[in-house]
Amino acid sequence: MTLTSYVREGWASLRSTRVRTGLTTLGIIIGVLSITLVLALGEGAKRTISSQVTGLDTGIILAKPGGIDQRAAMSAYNPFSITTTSTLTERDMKSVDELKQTNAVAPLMFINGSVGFNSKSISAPIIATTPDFVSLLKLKLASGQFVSDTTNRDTVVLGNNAALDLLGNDQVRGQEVLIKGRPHTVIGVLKNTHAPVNAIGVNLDRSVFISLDDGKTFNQGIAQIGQMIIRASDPTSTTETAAAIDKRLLETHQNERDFSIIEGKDAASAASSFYSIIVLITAAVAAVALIVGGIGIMNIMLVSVTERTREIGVRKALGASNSHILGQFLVESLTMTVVGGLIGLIAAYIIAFFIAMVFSFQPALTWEIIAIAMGLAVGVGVIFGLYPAIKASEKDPIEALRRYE
Amino acid sequence: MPRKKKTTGNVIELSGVTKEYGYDDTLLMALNGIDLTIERGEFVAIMGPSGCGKTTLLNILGLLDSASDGSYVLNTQEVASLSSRRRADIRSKEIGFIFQSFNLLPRMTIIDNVALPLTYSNMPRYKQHKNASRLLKTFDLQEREYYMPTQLSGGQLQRVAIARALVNKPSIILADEPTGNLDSKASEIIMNELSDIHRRGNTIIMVTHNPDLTTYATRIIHMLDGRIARDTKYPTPILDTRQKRPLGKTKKKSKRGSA
Repeated sequence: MTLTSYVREGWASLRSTRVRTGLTTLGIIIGVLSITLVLALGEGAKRTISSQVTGLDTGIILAKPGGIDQRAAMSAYNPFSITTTSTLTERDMKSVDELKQTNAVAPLMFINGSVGFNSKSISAPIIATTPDFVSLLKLKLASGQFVSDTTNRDTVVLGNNAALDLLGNDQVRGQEVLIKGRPHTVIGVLKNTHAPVNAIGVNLDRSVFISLDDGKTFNQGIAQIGQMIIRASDPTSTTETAAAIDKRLLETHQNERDFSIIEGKDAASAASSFYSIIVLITAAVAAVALIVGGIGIMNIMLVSVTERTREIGVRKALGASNSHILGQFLVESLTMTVVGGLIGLIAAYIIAFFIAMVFSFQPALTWEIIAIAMGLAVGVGVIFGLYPAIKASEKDPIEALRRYE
Repeated sequence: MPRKKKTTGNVIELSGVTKEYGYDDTLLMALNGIDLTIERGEFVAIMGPSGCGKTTLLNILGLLDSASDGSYVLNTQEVASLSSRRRADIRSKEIGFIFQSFNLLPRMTIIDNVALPLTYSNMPRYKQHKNASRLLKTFDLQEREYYMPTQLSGGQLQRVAIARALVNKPSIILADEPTGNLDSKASEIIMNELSDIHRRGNTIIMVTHNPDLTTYATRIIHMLDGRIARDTKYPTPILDTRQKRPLGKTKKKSKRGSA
């Protein structure tokens, strides 16, 4: 018996019980739909992150305090934690800057405090840094300029959302805001980066930026460097540069590895692997829907086997072997899951399309996701179809023929 | 391994076949030492009261059931101890079944029903349909090929079932009360079809309650309590020596369920 004849007969028998087949298939449709959507949304989020971190991967190196595993770097060091003191100092920054393999270094000093305007106050991340910060992260200014060596000490640049939250619009140069109670003049506003999650670990759109010298005044003149962004002179030898930085810092830290050097591309992978875990957990929850659908299939196939006991007897009398009967019933449950899977995929595609239209967020329906969803659907068909099919194939033809006679 | 079907000789050789159900004090000997040889081209009618083991014997002959003891040689091949897969294979090649309740699959068209035994023998679909169509034509049912079973009368359904039993060119045709669900007129048509098939050289083994039907047979086996009580052979079917009754004027026969 060929596969096509199995499918033809399976299709005919499923068509004869349309409503029940439809409802059973609906379970699979919903399961495949939810898994596909969750994976597509997760993949979309991952792509958004890595596209925002891509700006880092051409010759950018991050130095973070704390000798920690690179893969854990995203979550292990919280720049605003009050319990950790940074092991990176201004001296480290200078020694890295002196290396001929590097051509720009920007420190990030994270300061806890509130930013106020009139009676309003927000608790935005305050980042003290140097002019290279803008070019290193390829940030753009919506108006004004960034803090530089030539600007006054009590000046501040606002992230786009911070400006909107605090002052209501992003054309606010010359306004005075209070940083930790001290008045600062706004000299520029950054363009929106649309990157709430990035390699730095801080939402730049919600941050305010002051000069490192200014930042030090909030900390008794000592720079607490939470992170250094470094650019290699030769982007093609980023790894060698990272090694050179590592060596130099080890020397200055008396061989104490209390810092970590991360290449830009690894910073991205840290972010996306973090997201992968969340996506996987959500997908596992969505898979429950598919399992429920599979139970529905098993249920309906068991009913079908009982109803068609006589048919099984006739087929066996006419020469069907056990494996013929097994194949016939397995193909029926597989037909339901494959068709359900395809419909689920189409539905997921349509919903993803509307999400992309409405939310300006792009779910990514990749071939891998389609393969995973279809693979799961087929797997459910086999796993939950096997038991009823075995039951059907083991029917005694004499008993089966005697029924209802 | 296509086996050439011999034109003469024994198709079936049973020796010492027993069939037991249950055990200890519930032990039932459905068949109690059956020795039976059936030659090619015989039309055997098996008669006997309910519970005498007719249907059990037919099931064993049709390889649906296996004997508890004894040997069964079908077409020179010992089949008593074959795997279920091989038995299914032999069923699909050597045996045609005709049931009392027709047992056509209600979802399938007439032609698909007739072709059903061929789907288990890896024949291409167009060939299956060609064979089925040819057979339906000999039963004057070619216009009904794409009807569903519910659209046909009982007599027509049983002719379809006979066509299905013949489609794989079997060595033996097993019929269990083939007219049990039919009125006398349809019964006569069916029996005429069967004796026609028999005249063309097929071996038919039929279980029946109805003594009238035995007139078509060349051999009548009476069974009692799992044994063969009487075995009578006729050189030609009794019917041929008798005048045929005109159609439609036959006495109503009782319609009884099978054993």
